[in-house]
Amino acid sequence: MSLLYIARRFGVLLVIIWLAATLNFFLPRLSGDDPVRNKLLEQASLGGYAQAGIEDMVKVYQKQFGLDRPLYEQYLTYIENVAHGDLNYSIANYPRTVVAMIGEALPWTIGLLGLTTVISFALGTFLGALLAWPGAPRWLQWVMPPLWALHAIPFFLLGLVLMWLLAFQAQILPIFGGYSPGAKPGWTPGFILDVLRHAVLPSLSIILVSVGGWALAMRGMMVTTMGEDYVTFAEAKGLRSLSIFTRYCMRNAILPQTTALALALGQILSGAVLVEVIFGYPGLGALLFQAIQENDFFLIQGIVFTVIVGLGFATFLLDILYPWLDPRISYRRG
Amino acid sequence: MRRYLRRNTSLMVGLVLLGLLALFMIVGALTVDTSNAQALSVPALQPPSWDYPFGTDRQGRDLLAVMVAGTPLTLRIGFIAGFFGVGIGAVLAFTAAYYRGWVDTVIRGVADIGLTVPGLLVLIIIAVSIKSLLTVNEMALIVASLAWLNPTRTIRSQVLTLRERGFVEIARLNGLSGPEIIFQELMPNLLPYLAATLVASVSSAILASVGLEVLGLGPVEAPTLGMTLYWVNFNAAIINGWWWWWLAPLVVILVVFLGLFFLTVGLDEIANPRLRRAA
Amino acid sequence: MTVAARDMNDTILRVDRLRVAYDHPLGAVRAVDEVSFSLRPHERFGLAGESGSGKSTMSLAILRMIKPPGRIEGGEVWLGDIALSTLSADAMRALRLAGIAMVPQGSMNSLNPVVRIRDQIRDALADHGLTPGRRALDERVAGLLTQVGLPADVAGKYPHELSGGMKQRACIAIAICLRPKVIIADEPTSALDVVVQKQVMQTLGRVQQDLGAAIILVGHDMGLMAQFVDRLGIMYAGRLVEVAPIRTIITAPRHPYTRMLIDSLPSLDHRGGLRGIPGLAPLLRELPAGCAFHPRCPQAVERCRTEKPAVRPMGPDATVACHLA
Repeated sequence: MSLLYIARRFGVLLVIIWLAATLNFFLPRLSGDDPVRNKLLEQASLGGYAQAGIEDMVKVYQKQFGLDRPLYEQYLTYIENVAHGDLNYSIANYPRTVVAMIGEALPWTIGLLGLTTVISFALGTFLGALLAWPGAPRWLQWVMPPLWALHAIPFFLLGLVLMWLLAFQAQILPIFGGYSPGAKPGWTPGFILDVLRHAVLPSLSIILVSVGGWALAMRGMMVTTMGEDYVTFAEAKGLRSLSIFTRYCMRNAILPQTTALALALGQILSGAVLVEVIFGYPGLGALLFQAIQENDFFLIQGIVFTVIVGLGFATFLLDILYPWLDPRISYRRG
Repeated sequence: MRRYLRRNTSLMVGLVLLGLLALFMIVGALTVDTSNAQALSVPALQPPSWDYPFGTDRQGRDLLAVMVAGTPLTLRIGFIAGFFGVGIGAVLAFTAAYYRGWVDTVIRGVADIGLTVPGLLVLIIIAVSIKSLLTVNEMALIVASLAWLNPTRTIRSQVLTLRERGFVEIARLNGLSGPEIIFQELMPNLLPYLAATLVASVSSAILASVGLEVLGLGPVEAPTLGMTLYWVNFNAAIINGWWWWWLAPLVVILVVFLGLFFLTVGLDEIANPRLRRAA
Repeated sequence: MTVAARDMNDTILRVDRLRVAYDHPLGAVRAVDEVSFSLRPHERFGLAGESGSGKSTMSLAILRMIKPPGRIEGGEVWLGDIALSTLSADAMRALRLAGIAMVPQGSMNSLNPVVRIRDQIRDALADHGLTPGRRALDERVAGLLTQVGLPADVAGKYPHELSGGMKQRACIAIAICLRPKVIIADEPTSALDVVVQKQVMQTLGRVQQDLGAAIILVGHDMGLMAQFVDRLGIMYAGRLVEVAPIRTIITAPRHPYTRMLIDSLPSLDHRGGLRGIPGLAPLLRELPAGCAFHPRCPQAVERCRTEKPAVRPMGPDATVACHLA
């Protein structure tokens, strides 16, 4: 795979990072005012939080982003801060920094999201492939309609239903949180089991809804692939059914499916954020919700920035993976 | 027509579901007192009964009234944003796909990069930045601001395939100008596809608005479906066993999304005849 | 090749009154209608016809690869003394490539885009029970590539790295890797330019002789047929309307359709306007009554409109289906 290809993709990643920071800077200021300063001043005047800390923050803020400085200077200061990894302090939780708070929540989200995406993609893709294959068991076709109907609804809606059914009524799974209150965090089997139990409902909400979508898409790709000339020749070559299914059909149908994955990551993430809110799962979603409630502007900006960059990075990884799947790619656009 | 509906089950199911919804809204508007959708109107936390068929919530709202009043609001946001999105998206898509060259590169580049950023997050930043309390229409405009991204890309690729076909060349040789070709030749051929894209756009706009509302960034005063769910979450209605509170908006949202989904699938089938035979 | 009195036991492939139908919502369509012919070992047999004449369906039918909504309605295909319809699905699968091999239109899309050429030969060998080690495989692949005139480094390449002619020859290499007795070449040179066409046909001829196999060449290029085949069968609307040695077809065609096909070939000797065949081939689901060709036939008589002509033998190696022959 050519170096130029990697460099291009990396360049796109940098653009996305830059864009995220720029959006964070300019969007709030679109109204012509600076809502960050206003909110900050508001909080300071309310005196609700650590008063001394807030006043310090106001001073620092005025120095960096005061009205006396021209806009582009403010912008450059902002970019410089971000480049150094300084996402400022959390207004509501001073003196904790935004980076620290995000650092706590990030592993939970990566765990939940990573696991559920991989499971739903793998399960859904395989199911879809089987559904398209004439030799597959007939009863599989019955699995499709409920999954298909499910995939039209947002994750968190199913989450609500599952929560009521399994946590409230049947009481077999915990209602919310990442782990039981009072449990001691650590790499003990007890804690890990606790974490897993708490992850079941949020994960199920995402997986059950997503699988249908992937299955449907893969089925379509498989049908198209099965009609290709090389599949006909494969059969004429006297290849076994399994060989044709895996190496000729799935292997080719998975290419557009992977592209679809890269494109869907943003949507999956948005849905996962809402699931975390519903379940109080201590990832970035719940943190974001809390930040919104508390008007913690820096934290909100920090989370949005982190998410956008994280997504950009994941897309970058998928882009790098792609030529390995499809040998035609690295030769085309270099 | 009726025979086609029977064959295109998705379209039929979609229309039925949305029809039921419309019926609910119309009959509701005529029979239910929507002032009870405001807080402190009726006794709080009543389970469903003859007086209050959907029960009441903690702040004293009659949930039936909330549904009757709120559903059109949520739908309105979706429609405004959806139409906006497809309208702008179509214009951009046709321009990019027809004129090609740097116009196409710019439009496509912007749309592609815009799509890598998850829309909900940008919407959050925008919503948080706005000082005043949001109204429903302002909410719609916020959602609309990003709604054109996906339609632009999908419509563009459709136009590109059409463009290669002979009749565009012939129209050009006949002396039709660019905009004329776009409106008289390309657009009519894509009408079913545009309709499907519109419905999908409305659906995702509703999803975005409900998402924002559940996070607490919606029009707080309005009894929209998303706001109701926000209050459900805020008051831990599930743990407290007030099942009717979340059931009503859940069912309505379900009907909305399923209805729009089946409608999209049905329209897709019309737009793409190859899908017409059961795959 | 001299033709002695034909011994019935000297056939490697025999197609006996094969019928293939497609189930269409508006009624079943007969794509192949009672086609019979035999193939001798080492023989080159051509199957020519317009699009929609049923010739491609024939290739698939012989390999028992007709899929719903199509089905083999009746008739039989014999390879040696094995009746193909009696084989189990797996036995038929094993027979493909090993007994009868197909050479598809490789320049199009017949090679798996994400698999190297070497591995596309390897999987064919593996699914027929042969799993040579790495070195043995490489030798075998190199041998095959040499046979079709391709350089050895093609083995490690992907299909998109090869030109149309090279892809076609790679397909031939795959088709011969198990030394089949019968090769069916389905339009192997369409979409190739004339120079490459000749190379491919020469390759095909050479491997056929090396293997001692019989070959069925399916296509619509009469000029190509004239240069390559020993005997030619003409298909029209799903029927085999004439079969004869190639010389006879060209110099003394019996069926009016064959005659018009030959006449339509441009010749360097006579200058003059191009002559085509007026009208269009009929839709298979709307076949005219009687002889399917009668609307376009300049010699049609009343009998042709009502009575379908039967296939009649015309000497040891020829048949024709026409009332006037």
